Amino acid sequence: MPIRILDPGLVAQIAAGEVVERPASVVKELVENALDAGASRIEVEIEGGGRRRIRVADDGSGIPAAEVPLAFARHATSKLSSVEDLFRVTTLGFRGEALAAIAAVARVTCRTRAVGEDLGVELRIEGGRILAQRPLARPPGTEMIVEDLFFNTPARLKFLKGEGAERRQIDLWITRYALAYPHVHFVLRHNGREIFSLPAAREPRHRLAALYGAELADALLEVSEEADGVQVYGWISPPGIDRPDRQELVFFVNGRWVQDRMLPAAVLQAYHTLLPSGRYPWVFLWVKLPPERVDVNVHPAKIEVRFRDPDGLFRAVQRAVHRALRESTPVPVFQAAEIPVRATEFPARPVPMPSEDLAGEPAEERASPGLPPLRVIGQIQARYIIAEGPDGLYLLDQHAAHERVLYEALQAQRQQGPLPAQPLLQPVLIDVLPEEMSLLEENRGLLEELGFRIEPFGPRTVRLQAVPAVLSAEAILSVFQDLLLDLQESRRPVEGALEAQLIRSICKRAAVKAGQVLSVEQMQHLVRALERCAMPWACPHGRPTILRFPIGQLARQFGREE
Amino acid sequence: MDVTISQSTFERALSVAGRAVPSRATLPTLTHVLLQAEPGRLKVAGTDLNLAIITWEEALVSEPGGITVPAKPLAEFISALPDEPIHLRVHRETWTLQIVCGSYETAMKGLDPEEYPILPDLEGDGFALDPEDFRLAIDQVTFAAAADETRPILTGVLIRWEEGHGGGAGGAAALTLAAADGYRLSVKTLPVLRAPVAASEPGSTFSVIVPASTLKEVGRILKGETEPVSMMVLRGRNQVGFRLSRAAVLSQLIEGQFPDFQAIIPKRWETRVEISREALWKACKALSVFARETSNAVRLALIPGEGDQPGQVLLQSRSPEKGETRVAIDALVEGNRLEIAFNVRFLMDVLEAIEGDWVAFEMTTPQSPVKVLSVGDPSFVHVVMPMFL
Ligand SMILES: Nc1ncnc2c1ncn2[C@@H]1O[C@H](COP(=O)(O)OP(=O)(O)O)[C@@H](O)[C@H]1O
Ligand SMILES: [Mg+2]
Repeated sequence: MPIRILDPGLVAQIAAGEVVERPASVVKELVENALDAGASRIEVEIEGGGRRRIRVADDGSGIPAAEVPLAFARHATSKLSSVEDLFRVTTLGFRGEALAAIAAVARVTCRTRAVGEDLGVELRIEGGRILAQRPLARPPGTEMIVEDLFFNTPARLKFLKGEGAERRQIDLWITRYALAYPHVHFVLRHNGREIFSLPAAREPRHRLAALYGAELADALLEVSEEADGVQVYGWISPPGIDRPDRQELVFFVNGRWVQDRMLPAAVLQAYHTLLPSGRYPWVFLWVKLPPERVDVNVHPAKIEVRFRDPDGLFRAVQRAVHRALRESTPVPVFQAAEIPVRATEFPARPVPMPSEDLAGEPAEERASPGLPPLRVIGQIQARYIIAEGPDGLYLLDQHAAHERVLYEALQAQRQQGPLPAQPLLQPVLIDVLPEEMSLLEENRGLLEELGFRIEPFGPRTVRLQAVPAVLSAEAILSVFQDLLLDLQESRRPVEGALEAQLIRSICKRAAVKAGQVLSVEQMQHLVRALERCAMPWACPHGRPTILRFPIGQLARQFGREE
Repeated sequence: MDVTISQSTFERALSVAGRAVPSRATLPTLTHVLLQAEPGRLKVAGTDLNLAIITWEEALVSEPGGITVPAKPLAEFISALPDEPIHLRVHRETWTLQIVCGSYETAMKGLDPEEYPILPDLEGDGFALDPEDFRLAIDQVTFAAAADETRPILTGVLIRWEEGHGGGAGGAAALTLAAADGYRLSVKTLPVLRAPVAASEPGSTFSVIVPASTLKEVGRILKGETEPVSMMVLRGRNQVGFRLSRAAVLSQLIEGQFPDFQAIIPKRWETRVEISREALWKACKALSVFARETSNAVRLALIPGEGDQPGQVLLQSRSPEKGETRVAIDALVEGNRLEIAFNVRFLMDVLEAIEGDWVAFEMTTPQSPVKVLSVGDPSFVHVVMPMFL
């Protein structure tokens, strides 16, 4: 469809309002345009938190030379033609206002070449006035450069937050779109430094891993449901992996990141008792439904939507999440088929299939979060603790269980302030690469909160002065190496993800190791502490801490029908 | 080889030498113990090439000779036997060890002792040390050494000799032992009964770093020893040896530069506490149960006495589930009131290492190293870094 000016009747029906509030909104609009143009690669370069310069380049369809000036006119769009279109929007943009609004408050350079045309165009426009237009040779696609944002509206400038805050907001948007469009290669740079380059991912899960770390991605549960035209799919965290805020309740409706009340409510209801109060899961859910069943024309920034059938959707989402959670049994029942019970020869009386037992468990019992009181019997392989509970035999993985105990204790401490630090009598000097040095510098505040005191000492050396107190029995240099790995790994702009990752690593290092012989007292202490945990059945990495052998199953396995 | 030895004696010898035998090794003979019959005694030795433990026990030797046999199976078999004389006999053609004890009899496949590493004799001039003093010194320093293999030097104990710088009571000749793990430091002066001739020359000094694990083994064997122990440094081999009346321990030294520990020991204090070691230990023990989930932290408030009020040490630990636990102990507190936090494990370690009834803590600020002393015993100094909460 060519770009054309919408007729006034249609304009009147479009949610009115300002779209360019801050640098991040510019980035969002430009990235949406690139996605609408079918780009397979989008590069975003930011300088000065977006105030100085924003550049978004794509390899999409480009804008036909003759239409370029029109693209910057108000209410000019190629994405809508009639009122009916407004009720079945399939593109991210449709208002035809973004480029005009941006060009009104910045110096914009647009370089583009449409697929099928031989020559491209460069247009320079400033404060809404076209300054120059000339032909240009370039590959198909579009490059938008927005400089000196709000140069002519000083009042606006005053309301901008600092570079860091603007930058975080930009990163958040890029992260959202990178998640929603995993097959698009995204590159993000700040002040010349590459933050990430995410090649096209075959599966959304790979993109999730690239942004949030493989560890989290691997631990997440898959959600996938489809019923009468509504598709709900994505990933959610299992009980035991949670966070203190709602920041990572992420929803995409028809490829659009949305802010909505109903969708998180549906998800949280499905989790009900599985989360301690004040804790929230990680949720990445895609909802796909026919465009006419969702109204996107609600808010000028297009981040709110209205559903034709909200109740139906609520139930669909809740059902999908509930099923994914139910399928991950909290205290996994041991799969008895793995024991070679054939050794006992009772051919006339076949061993009942363990699945029957599983099916016979009432669902409530499996979903209940706490552990019953357990009596420690002993340790095997210096790895597992055997315990007896009212309803069977329990096996604990000592390392995973201790990780969980530490994780909850450290999380609780973090709520109250920094973690205790154990300083060294004499600082340890460690040589680092320039790259590592800047990572340490960048995260210095967070590291101090977690108990690490690390100061630069010359261009390539740091002084390690303190470590988190729980790690004082561990090898200092290995602790430091772990830290560098985590920092390198988690070059992702997701707020809170790095801290959570670091805390998980601290727990992993500090927890008793497999192979460590424990006294009865130590085992009892560990079991008691695990019983007190809000989420006792999984370690912070999502592996089970405990397995249960139901009494009934034991009886049947021994051929003792009772 | 043809030897008769009592079961309990042989069992003890195997368990002592067995501590140096690795459970897995690339060289099969290393998982063996060496049995060597010498006139009137049986020598039993084990080594992993870093540490060797050799012990001699009285035995009736009818024919000298030797063999190596797998250490663990042998020790397990011997410990299951009744306490009766054991008759050991080697068949050299097949290198098998025949073991007969009462009505029990077995044969074990072994190897030619020629294939076993050569362990040098520890005859010669060394530092003569009182066994009880030495054992105590080992206990007081090795706990402060690091288990952290990534900083090998700190897994060792520095042993230093400076001729003329006695340090021992009344300026008597003494060795200095020091160990540090990064968070704490223990320094002990150990009187020398007699120094070797080479070390007695004026100005003679040396320092070596001995693996703490070696010293712990020596400490274990020292229990019950009554004769002076001789320590000798085998310079050319980069080894140190300890000769006891019926055993010897030989170990590789750790190479490198030990940190300058003198610089770490605080020279002054603002707050000084003298407190009953036992009362403080008991309080720490009680609080450690609660401190476990909170990084082992205990807070101490040191409150100087006023008028006829005695000074007090208030200990407190917090855990998210159980809330707060407090203990108050009367103590002699001089100087300023101070609040400070420690890893309770570190406190308990030093309290367990000290022997006297009263322990003193000297501190300047909550962020500075703290000196811990055994009141009335100038031979021991400990320094521990407080925790930041
Ligand atoms: N990156 C791009 N690639 C191709 N066409 C673009 C691009 N950016 C903008 N356009 C064209 O300019 C028009 C106006 O863009 P915009 O002001 O954002 O309005 P809208 O996206 O709502 O249509 C779009 O409809 C589209 O035709
Ligand atoms: Mg647009």
